[in-house]
Amino acid sequence: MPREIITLQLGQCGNQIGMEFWKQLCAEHGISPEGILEEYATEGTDRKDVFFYQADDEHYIPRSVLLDLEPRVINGIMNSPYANLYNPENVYLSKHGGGAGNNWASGYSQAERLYDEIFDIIDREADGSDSLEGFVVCHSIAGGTGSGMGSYILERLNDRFPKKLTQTYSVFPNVDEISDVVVQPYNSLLTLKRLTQNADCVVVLDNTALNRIAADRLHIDTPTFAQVNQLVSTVMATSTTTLRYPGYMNNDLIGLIASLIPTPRLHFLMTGYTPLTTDSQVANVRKTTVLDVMRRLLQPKNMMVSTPVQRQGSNHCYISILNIIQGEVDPTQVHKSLQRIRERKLAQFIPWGPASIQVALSRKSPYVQSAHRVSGLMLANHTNISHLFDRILKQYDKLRKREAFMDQFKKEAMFSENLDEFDAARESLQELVNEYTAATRPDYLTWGSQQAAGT
Amino acid sequence: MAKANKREAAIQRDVKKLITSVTGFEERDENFSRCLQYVDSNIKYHRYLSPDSHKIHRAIDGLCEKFEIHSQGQKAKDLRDLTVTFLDQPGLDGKDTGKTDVHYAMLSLLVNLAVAPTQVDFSRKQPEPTAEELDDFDWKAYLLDGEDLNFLSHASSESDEGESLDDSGDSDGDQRKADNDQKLVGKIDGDQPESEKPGDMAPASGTLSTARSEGSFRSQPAQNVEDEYSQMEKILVAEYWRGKSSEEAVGGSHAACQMSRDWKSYQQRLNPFQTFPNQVVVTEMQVIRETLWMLSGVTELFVFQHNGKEFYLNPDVYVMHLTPESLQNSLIPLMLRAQQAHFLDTFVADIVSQRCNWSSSDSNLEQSTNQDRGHLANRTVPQTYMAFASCISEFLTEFRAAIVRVEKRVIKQEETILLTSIASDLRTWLQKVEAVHRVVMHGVAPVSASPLQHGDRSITKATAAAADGRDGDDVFSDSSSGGGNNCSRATLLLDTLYDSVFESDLMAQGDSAEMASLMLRMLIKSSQPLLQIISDWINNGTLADTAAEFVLHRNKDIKSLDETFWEKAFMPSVQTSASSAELSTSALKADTKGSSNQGSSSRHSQGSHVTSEGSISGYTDLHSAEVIVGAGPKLLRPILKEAILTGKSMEMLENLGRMREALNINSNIFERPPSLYELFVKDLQEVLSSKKGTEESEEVDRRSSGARAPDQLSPGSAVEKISEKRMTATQVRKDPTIERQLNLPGLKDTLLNINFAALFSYPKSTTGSKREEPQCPRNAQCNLQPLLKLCGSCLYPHISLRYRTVCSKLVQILKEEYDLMGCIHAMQRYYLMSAGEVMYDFYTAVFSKIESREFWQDCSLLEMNLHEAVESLFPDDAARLSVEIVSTSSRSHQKSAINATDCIHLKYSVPWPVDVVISRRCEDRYNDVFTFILQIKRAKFTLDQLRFDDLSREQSVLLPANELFPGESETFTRRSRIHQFHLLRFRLLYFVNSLHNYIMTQILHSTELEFECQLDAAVDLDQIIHIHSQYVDAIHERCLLHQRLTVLREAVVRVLNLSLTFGTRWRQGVDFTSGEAIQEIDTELTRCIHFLSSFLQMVIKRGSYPHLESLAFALVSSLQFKVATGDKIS
Repeated sequence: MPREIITLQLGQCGNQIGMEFWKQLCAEHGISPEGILEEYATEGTDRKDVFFYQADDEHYIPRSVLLDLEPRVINGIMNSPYANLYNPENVYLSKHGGGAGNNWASGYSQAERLYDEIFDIIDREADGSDSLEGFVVCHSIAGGTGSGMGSYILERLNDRFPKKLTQTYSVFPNVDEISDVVVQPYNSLLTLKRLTQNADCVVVLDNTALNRIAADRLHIDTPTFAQVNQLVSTVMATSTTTLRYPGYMNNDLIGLIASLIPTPRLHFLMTGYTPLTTDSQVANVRKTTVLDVMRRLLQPKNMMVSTPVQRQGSNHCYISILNIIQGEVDPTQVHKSLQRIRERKLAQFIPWGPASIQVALSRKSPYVQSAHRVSGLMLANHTNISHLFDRILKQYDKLRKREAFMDQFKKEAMFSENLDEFDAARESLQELVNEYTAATRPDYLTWGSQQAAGT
Repeated sequence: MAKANKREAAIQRDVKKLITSVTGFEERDENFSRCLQYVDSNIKYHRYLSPDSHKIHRAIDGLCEKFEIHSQGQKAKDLRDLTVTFLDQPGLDGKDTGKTDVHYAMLSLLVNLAVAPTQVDFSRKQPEPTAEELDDFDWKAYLLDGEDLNFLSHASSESDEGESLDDSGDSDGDQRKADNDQKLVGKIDGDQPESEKPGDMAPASGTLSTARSEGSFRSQPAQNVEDEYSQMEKILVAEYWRGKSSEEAVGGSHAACQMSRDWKSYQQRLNPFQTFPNQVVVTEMQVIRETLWMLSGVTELFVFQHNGKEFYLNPDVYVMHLTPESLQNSLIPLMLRAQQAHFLDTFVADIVSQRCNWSSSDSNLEQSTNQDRGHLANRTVPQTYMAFASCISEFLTEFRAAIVRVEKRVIKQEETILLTSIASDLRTWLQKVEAVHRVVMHGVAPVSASPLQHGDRSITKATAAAADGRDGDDVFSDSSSGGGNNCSRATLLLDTLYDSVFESDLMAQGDSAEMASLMLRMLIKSSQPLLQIISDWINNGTLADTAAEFVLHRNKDIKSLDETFWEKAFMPSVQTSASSAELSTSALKADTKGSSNQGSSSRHSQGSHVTSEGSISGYTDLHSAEVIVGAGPKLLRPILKEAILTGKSMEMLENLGRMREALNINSNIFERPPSLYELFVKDLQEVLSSKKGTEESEEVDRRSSGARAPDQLSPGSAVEKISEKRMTATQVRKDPTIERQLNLPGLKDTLLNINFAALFSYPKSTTGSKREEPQCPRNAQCNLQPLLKLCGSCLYPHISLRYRTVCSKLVQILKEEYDLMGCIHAMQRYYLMSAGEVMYDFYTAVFSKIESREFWQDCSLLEMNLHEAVESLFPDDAARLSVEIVSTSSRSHQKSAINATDCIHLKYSVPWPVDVVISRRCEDRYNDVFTFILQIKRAKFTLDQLRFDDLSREQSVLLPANELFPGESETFTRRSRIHQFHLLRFRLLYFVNSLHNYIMTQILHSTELEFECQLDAAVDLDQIIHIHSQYVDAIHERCLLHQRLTVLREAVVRVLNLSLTFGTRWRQGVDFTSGEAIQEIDTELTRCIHFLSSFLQMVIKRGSYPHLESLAFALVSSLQFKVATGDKIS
């Protein structure tokens, strides 16, 4: 009984990182780009059937749905060596191929129109699995397709599969460079409302931070998409590693994320990964003990979200942490490291609940050579993520004040009459920010009643 | 050439004879020379055809027919018989078969020569019976030559006579034989074929041999007995036993001879009314000889009288030169020894006649538990006793031979021999007798302490024991009640021997080493049966212990293919643990007194893990193993455990059909490893002879080569040399500085020197030989005397070697072929859920069903679930795994929701040889752990599955919350309640996750790592069993399942239960739960965590459960926020 997970790759960005993700999975499971198990990988005890299924001809086929409104990225995939990996029926390209024009509303309404076709694919995929555990959505929140279509699909998934988990890997836009997509704040805001309400867990992949990490940590002056995507795929692959390499613990997705998320809305997770290497600097010799890895994971500079995690003066704190440690690890070391971290107060935790820091141990793929004995991924629920939302809110407010670019949205039926949707989204996001702020205070315990009293 | 000429001449002569007789020509005749020429040419040049056997047969048949026609049937029959006999006669023509050409040639000659056979009267000669010769050879004298049986007279010339007779007889025989031969030849030469008598040849040699067996030595005719008797009376000593000796004849003129008479008169003077009984005077010589007879076991004596038990001096006897009192006093020690020798005789006779009355009768009652075994034990004499008895009889023979030697000297009367000189001559022998007797008294008698009467040789043991008491050396007098079975008897005997070897070896330093060698020899020989038992066991895997004297016996109830085989197949022979404990303590007492040997035995019992955690694990076998070893004889005690393990392993290997491999037999299936005893003795001899100096090497060679003959084991003889050699050899080798130190004036200490010598000699002799290496850890025995240490060093390595080969082989086979590790891993996979994803599949299905309140307690359904989960990854295990539903009503009196899954028990059928390790008890333990883990998993699963939507889902509540819960204050709005729910879930999840994490990683993973390290190092099956059961116990304990941690566990279970309750409430939705209910759960959770963390803190501070530290830390850190905001909750 594999607890299958269906991956939905939406839009340009979603398909790119999805592509990288599958590349990584194929490498780790010893599956060739054609989907055939490599000679050396036949004996593995890994679980391929969570993310793949085996066709009648023994090919491994990803449980993946590729959706886009414009053909460029998907065509790129189809021309790559991995073209035969995917189930061609699961690739959906919009007929007119014009894309969403970086417009959330366009993506949303197009998705609405394509509802039947899209959900035919998803339903078929869901029917093909014994005990579907949930969906993983890869998309960006700033573009048109990923955000608009993603939002729509999230809402519908929630309706159609209320019992299934929905986890998203959401790419947040890079704020450091002037984006060509000027309506980013609009798109982000609208998407975030859906992410808050309809997703169970959102893994925030902040392009700002990723670029910064690529530049600072990997010493790449101008990081390419591929290099950044490599980082993303590493994070994605590692976060699913306990599902794919079963051990005596953490064999389901829900078990992983349940302990991370205390209340329904506080489900935006930061990630950190160490040790970070690119191919060019494998020779980088470092000491990687469990303690080192766990300590380094807590350092802000390894965080893949561009928020000042330990900003002075604020009492932002960790709500919960899950470390996924890969490699040959003695559990006693892990426990010692945990104790050390707690003793030294390396991490500031919420004042109203236990310092929930958990460690999941996982095996490493035997087929991917790594220079490091131990590597770790941190999934952290940190109140400081609200900073990100704050920034989006501010940008939105600035744009909104001037009603900039609003006409593009008004073209779509959804906004033709009024802009209530914007207001609702803003309110929802503001509430989220408020809750995160409230969570930094001890009186969060009675937050609900205060809220009630307040309103 | 000369021969040819001679033959030619003979032929010439015969030819001339022939011509003369046939033709009648004279020699000078011309015709004669012509005839001669004719014959010559015929002989020389004519080729005679070789006789045709068929023709001859036909001719003879024809003759026979002719005879019959002439009604001469008898003749025909005779002819046929004789020809056949003749033809069958071998020896002609240089061949040893009949029917050669020569035979036929002769027959044809005879047939041709025969003229008118029918005319001749013939009667077959009867073979005349030859008178059998008398053989005058004096066989008795010849055979008895050298033995001195004649006390009275010496045969003067008998042997010479016999010699001459023998010679003449021999020549007679030869002559007769020659005659016979000649006769035969002559008869063949005779003209008639009927006259052949080849049959005569055979008995010619036979008569001689039969005649020889008939002795000419007959008892002399007793016609003139009277004459001789009177004649003898003059020569012989006076019949003092009939009072025929007179003082005049005995007494001399020397003043000393008047001693007795003077004393008598002196006494008479003191007391005129004193009467003296009619006494018999004897000479000292007579006393000496009677003493010697007494010592050699004769009870019918005059000077000494025997009352069936002890000798005492005949009060009617006196000697001239001593007072009766002094005579008595000088004879008492000798009488005592004689009595002891007699006792030994009795003992030997009893053992030989299988009369095991030496067992006490009360042992019957004791052994009522094991009737037939007790019966057996009582019926049979321990082989150890038999071996010991044969030793004693050997010793007695030697002793008596020595006495005979002395007696010969006495008989010769060539030197002056006095009573005292006899006593001093025999001193060492008498000491030995005393020592052996003591061994019997201590080693054999205490077991049969109750006074017993058997036949005419009634020996009151009580008085004998009292006699021991006088010796003051009561090693075992207190343990006289210890066990009545053969095992304890054999052990006691061997222990006594061991102690006496030890003592005598101590004494041997100053004294002669003879005693030590005797004792050692006895010890070695007596331990042979036990060694043989062990040897059979460890070499062949059969415990052949007919007399039940080994410390273990095979429990017939346990089949070889039983999982309890290892534990229960061999039961200690010592019946009750109390008696064995007593025995062992008394043995230990003896040890501390004697040699502090017990250190080695306890140290030997496989070190720390046995002693450290034995009490926790409650593994009773450990205890009994020590008891068993304690019940063994001291000689074997250090090695007994290994021997037992080896034996068990062998039997196991045999059952597995893999014994050949363990025996290291390459080619020959009949080859068996050499007997342990032989190896032991051989080694001992080698070690002992290696101690000898080079100048004695020749002697050594001779000795060792002689001793290697299997039936000529004489270790004792070699031992005698040790002590002398020990001194000389080592003083040469000793470090000069030590020498100097030791010999410093004022510091010189002979004992110290000797001890040093002993110390140094030992390593010298053993270094370089590889086998001695395992001896190094036995240094605890350093204070043992070298002789025993030597024994050990010769015996133990053989057993250790077997132990290592056999046990490691068994372990290897178990590990490699029977997949021990695979089974253990399987246990871990399912019971301890190390195969998380497989078990996840299994239990999530169950949990979901429980949650949705479906019926799930169905064995086959669960089993199907399990198999389905297992099959994909471990297809082999699916067949072995099964699930059973156990009614748990008895196990847990308070039944809460969390206990719902307690009834699920896994069953993993372990294949045979491995289930010795993974026993049912272990499986129960595993199941306990399984149940606990299942509870945690269930709590975790329940909490994980809670969806936020379920809680906040709008319920179609009939009444608004305020009316449903009238007491609800304003603060508990719906939203705040939801929020409370969320936070509570978060805390519960944290707790359950911490616990889960702790159990799964810290316990299962770390403990397993430790376990596998230990397992790799394990040498024998016993260790593996211990390690495994310890591992299971450790897990059991660390999962808080131990009795002492009940409090802790209850709190944990309460939280788990709370999780379930919480889950149910959550699923019902927020609208059915009041804020107070949430508060209640919250408070209880806080209380439990408080309790647990403080309890754990306390436990950790004591340091008793270091592994709990991380759990405690997790819990404590989860409380810190409570402390900060504590006032709110509490």
